[in-house]
Amino acid sequence: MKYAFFPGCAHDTSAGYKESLDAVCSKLDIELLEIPDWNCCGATITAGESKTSSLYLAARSFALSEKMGYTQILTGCNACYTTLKKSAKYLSSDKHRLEAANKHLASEGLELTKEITIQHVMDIIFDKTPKPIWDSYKNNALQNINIACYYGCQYTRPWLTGPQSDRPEYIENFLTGLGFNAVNHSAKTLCCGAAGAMPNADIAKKLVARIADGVKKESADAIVTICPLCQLNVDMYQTQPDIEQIPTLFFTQLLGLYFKIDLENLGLDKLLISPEPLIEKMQNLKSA
Amino acid sequence: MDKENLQHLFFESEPGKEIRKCIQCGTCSSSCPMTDAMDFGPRSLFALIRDGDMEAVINSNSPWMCVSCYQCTSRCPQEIPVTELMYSLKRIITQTKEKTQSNKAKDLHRSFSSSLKLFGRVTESFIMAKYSLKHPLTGLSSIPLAVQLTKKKRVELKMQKVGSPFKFRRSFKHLR
Amino acid sequence: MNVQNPKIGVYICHCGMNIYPKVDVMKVAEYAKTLTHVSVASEYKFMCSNPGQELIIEDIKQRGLNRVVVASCSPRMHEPTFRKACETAGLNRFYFQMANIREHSSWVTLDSDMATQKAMELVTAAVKRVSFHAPLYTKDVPVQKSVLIIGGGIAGMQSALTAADAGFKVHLVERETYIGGHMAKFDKTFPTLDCAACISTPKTVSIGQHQDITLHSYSEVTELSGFVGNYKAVIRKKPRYINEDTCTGCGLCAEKCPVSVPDPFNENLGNRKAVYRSFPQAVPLTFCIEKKDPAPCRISCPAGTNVQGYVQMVKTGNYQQALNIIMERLPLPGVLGRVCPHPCETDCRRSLTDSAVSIRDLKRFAADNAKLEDVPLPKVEDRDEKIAVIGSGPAGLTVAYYLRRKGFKVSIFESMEKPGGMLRTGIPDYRLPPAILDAEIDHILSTGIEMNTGVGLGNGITLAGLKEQGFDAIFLGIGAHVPVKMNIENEDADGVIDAVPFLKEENLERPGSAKKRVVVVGGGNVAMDAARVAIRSGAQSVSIVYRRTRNEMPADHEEVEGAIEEGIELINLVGPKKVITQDGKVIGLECIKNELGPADDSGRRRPVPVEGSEFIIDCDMIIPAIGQRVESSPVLEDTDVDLTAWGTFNVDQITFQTSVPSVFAAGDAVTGPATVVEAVAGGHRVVRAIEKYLNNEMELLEDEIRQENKMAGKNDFLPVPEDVPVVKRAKTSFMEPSERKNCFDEVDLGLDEASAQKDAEKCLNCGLCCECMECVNACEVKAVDHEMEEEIIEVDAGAVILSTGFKTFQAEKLFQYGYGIYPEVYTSLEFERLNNATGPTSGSIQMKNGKTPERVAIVHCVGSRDSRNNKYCSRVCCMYSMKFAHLVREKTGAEVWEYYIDMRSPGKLYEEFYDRVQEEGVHFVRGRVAEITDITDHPEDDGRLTVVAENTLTMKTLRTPVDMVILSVGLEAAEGSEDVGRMAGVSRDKDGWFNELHAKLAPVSTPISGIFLAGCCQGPKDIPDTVAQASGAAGEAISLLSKGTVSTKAEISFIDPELCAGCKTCIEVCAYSAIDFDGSRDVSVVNETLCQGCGSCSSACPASAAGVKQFTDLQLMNELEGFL
Repeated sequence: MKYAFFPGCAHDTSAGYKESLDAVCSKLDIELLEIPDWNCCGATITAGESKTSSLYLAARSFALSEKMGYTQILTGCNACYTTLKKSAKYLSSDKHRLEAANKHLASEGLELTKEITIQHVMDIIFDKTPKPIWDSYKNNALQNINIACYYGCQYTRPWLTGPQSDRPEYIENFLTGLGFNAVNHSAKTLCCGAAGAMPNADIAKKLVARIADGVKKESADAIVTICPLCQLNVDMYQTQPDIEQIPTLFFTQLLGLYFKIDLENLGLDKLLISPEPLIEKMQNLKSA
Repeated sequence: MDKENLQHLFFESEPGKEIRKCIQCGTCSSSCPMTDAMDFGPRSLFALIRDGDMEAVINSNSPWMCVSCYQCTSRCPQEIPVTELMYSLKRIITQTKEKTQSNKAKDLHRSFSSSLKLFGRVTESFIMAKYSLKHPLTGLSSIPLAVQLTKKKRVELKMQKVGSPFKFRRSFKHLR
Repeated sequence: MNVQNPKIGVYICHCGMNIYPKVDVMKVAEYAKTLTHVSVASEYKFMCSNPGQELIIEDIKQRGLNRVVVASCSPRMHEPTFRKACETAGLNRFYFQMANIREHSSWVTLDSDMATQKAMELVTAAVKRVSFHAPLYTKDVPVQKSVLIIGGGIAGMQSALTAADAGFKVHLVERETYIGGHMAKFDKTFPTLDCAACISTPKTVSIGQHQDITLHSYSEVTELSGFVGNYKAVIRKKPRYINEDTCTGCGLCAEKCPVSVPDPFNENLGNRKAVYRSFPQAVPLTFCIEKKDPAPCRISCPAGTNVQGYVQMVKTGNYQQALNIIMERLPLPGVLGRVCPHPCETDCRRSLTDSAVSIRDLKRFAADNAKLEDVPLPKVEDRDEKIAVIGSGPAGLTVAYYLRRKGFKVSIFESMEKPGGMLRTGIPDYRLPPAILDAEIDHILSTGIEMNTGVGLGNGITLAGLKEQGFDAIFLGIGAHVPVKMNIENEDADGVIDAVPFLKEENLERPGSAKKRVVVVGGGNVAMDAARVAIRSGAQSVSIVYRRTRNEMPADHEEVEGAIEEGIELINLVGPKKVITQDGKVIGLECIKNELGPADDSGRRRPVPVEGSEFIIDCDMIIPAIGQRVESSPVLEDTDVDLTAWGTFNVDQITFQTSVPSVFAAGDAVTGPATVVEAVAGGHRVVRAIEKYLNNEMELLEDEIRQENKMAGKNDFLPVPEDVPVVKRAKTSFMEPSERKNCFDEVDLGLDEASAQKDAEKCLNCGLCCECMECVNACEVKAVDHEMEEEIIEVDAGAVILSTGFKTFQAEKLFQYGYGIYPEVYTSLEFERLNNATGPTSGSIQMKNGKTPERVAIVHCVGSRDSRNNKYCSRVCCMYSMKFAHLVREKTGAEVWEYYIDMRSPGKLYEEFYDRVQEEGVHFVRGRVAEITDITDHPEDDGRLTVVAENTLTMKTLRTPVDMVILSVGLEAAEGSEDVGRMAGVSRDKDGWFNELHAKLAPVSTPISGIFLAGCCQGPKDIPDTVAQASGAAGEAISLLSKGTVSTKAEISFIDPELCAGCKTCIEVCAYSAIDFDGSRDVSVVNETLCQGCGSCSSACPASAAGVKQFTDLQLMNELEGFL
């Protein structure tokens, strides 16, 4: 299955997200086609300067995707996910904004005509792949691996309401299906402060400390993230003094371990907090 | 621009008038992860706007501190879209080119957006460097972390950019 | 209609500044003068004032007006006022019409000219219409001097007492088992902190004693019909299973009750028994038994044994009562405790969490540990009818024993020397020791049953003979003892002996007749028995040949296991083909291999022989165990009893009668080879049938059975709790295979007391009440009646008061507060119980771990002032929250934080209470709580909850670690108030509260006259307001009824007999059954006292014969014309 993929600016430098995502996708026959010449989504910044510019940024990448024949775009970054999803909503619901954007796109010979849908690459991996492949690696002993799923803020908000926005169970249900013990903790969607970390290191540190505390309470072996900014921040600030240190992986890296993919293809060496304990624990499981 | 017009501008901005519903319960401020770094929490900011104290509002660092986690929006008992209001505040300040006190968060925005405007994509190291020029101390203090990352080959020194930054710049410049 | 020379007076009201100056009233008046028939038009500041009305009266008198139009406010406000004025002046009140130029014009129109223009049009319409008005008259009808009150909370109680003290009969209906509503759960009440019980018990008590109040507790109103002054209510009284008149409330029943379940009255923080009273001072003091559907175990038992009942008795160590319960349905407890295939365990819901309760072993344990002679027998009159029971197997013994218990004379005829049938001859001693069987049969006979052994049909007795001896009914329980042949070559060779005779011989004489190498053919229990007996009676090797696989084996799992343990070899998927003999003796069995084909009717896959796969098993003895059939020939000798194709007796499936009415049959003789418990089940059906037969009530039987089938299978069971611990299933101990295979001693040694009780503990009490009858035995005044059924009563009432109260907001919905996730987060009701002397902790405020909290947070506005849940303010939370704060400080000295958005303490002494609580050192934080989390910033706070909120006064976000959080949940309309509203025709607002007639001027009335509102069902309010409103509602009801009559509406339907076609459509559509049919004239006639003028008939009438007075086509058309 082929999909248009929007990597976002943090994808390549992230701690093995790229490697592990590619590895897992090839395992699942998913082909991610990078949108040629995509541009930054503007994240939380451009929308604070001018709606038109922020919509232009999104529209440009959308148009490029449309040009390559795809109206559904996948991304692996929560910030890109939310920014693009919001822009897509504005563009499809407001003709004038769309025209405005197209006016500027014209100079590059681009045009956006179709409605674009944005999905997190995780949704596809969880929902659109054949069950047998997963089942063939199922192992009850995995119950002994305690995983704390960390969604970050923007995957669930503002898109979901009610318990789903603070205590989602989407990733948990999937991992439990594979045999893992996905612990229920209170830090699932706490903000890690990444977007404001640079000028406010002290706050970012405090926020990450809270996340670590919530996770530690459920004695998790690892934190699983779905966003390069979350991963960077949570991984990095746990290295600071007096914060619990829990290996913080991308979900694709955990799935890689589940599929027993060679470690070197998962970029695990780039993690600041060593995942060794987890890897060992998983390798020493006697299959039941 | 005089303050009354600014206030008017805000209430007219989508969805500015929503804050008339605010019951000042403080759910937004206490839900906000960055509240400790803000000089005014969202609630206080709304109170100031309703008082017409726009001087304080446009000089506040709060809108720039907002990291768009939407916790305030998802919890506000009056269903006020707080995050969106932060955006519209920033837009008003940017667009009216009001002279306002500088603050770290705002400078980060600047560094980010100049990187974006120049190359169409952003590069952490570039933002970092640009920001550090304005705030050398923060720059220095973050060196150890930077070193850690570099060791793990996670710092990209090559600039990320779109195919033709020149074209991009040209069409981007004409916006707004 | 008096349309000739109408003289109309038109009066325009300024309504102070409400209508004028927006509407230029002078201009309107001038204009009005120009309208036809208008003889006078004037305006005045307040038409509703006395001078205003005088104006009208004078003009009518002086100028002889015969029509009046007032243009002012809404008719809802002052129509009555002006109609009255007309009447005073001697004009029929219906010659009046009102134009609403306030709500319809001045208030809703911006432009003054347009407003004036519209006012003129409204006036024109009124003038046009009024010309066609006709005089109408009302009638006075008598009223019921009684009040129906729905809901027995503090509001309902107050209304009841007020009305009753005024001499009116009151029916107070409460759905709970007690009156007092939520207030009964409270400990203290704000602001004066007097104890809720102390101030409400005087009321509850006097309700109980008042001779004019009939209290219908544990009841619900299911229908409400009629109209003001004459309402009719249907009340469904749920069965308490305890007689209200005799119960003294001593509580002995609850002490004895073995079943304990979560207690809703304590918000499930504690437990109560299946027989319960919610709190000691409850009124009525009567206890109540809660039942669900009969437990699955009980349903699945063919004999209908009360399994849950005896399991509970084993749990509590009352083995005798356990045995008594078993003996109600099973005459052979020890036998079935050993050999029953226990379908009950298959259906046991405990297996949903871990494993089924070991029911059969518990039955055996009870039988082994209680005395048969102590089993009580029902006291019954002896009866003269004689019944002959032929055969003393399980079916026969059941029939004999239970008919005897009903007083009949019973004689058993057994062809063998010892009674017991297959139990004795078929089941080997190592499974069922003869001592057990003898003891239980002796007990059965000891109840006065005559046993004749060595006589059976064909030797000694005949059916005809028995009839002659004067037996009124005969039961055939002769079983199925005749072996079914294999139909293969050399089947009769020496060394082939069928299982039935083999087992019989070994069981009775034990000659050790087994040869060296034995092959048993078959896969049922009989085959297993034969094999295991063979091993015990000298065989060196035993093999079982079965044509399907082990999964299809009909034999009990335990039996197959036992056989294998004893070294018996299973040869599956093999069928016998031919017996190999040498000079007439068996030397082997030729078999053929099978494979499984498609399933047959029994659902099991049919074995298909594999060509050429024949092979020979060497052996010197072959025991076929492939089935038995009935020996029917002696029966048929002298009667014409029908047989089925299978050679079993053909009986009626309901009456169990054979083709000879006085002859009944059951057991294997009817079903073919089956289990003991199935034989017992058949026996019970026959007992009931014979009794009915002898009472000549046979026809009742069918209905009874049909009823039972209807009742079955609703599956409303006690829900399985979430936190059931996993408990391993109790295992009985067994004799070692090595030693047991050489003797006939019992193999299964049963359970020890500890493990039996532990296993009984696992029972989930699916049926809630287990009907162990301990309460019946405990009750000294014999108030318990497990047969009680629900009652339907009808009551009349002149007026109805709705006081259905409220329910609290579901705190789970505000997920960020972690209710249901963090154990130390409580709702306010839970805290009320926690703090209440009659609560689960007898009033000590403690955490789930038993410790006293040191830091407590109280969170206001949970579910209130929240547009995502309830927009409104619940009005009571601020005050009760401060009450909590005070109580916590007082009882525990803990630090208390109150998180509020705005402090709302309007009310007498409320603000003073606020001061007091502040002075007591409670921390007040002005800010709504954002979240409650177990995440802490400082390790020393681990294990505590952190409450996050902004103190909006200091602009600081506080993260306060606490031990306990109380959520002050808001109020919502009570469960079921929607149905009550529909029933009474009272509408509800968007939040579900009942709509009052007028927000300010008629707060306790509803648009439906004669129906009033009291308490929280109309909107959140505190106790003082509720009580005041309740008295008000009662007052309104009294003033309505005390005159003794109400006048009917004048604007009612009429049916023109000239036009009526007599189609009766109107009669069908009339909701008030106010239309009768006059047969003599073939037309429908309106009953003027019943008609409410709703107009359904006029819209439904195909001949447009029906219409509504004051809304005639003529009037409406003219009014419309006026607008155009």
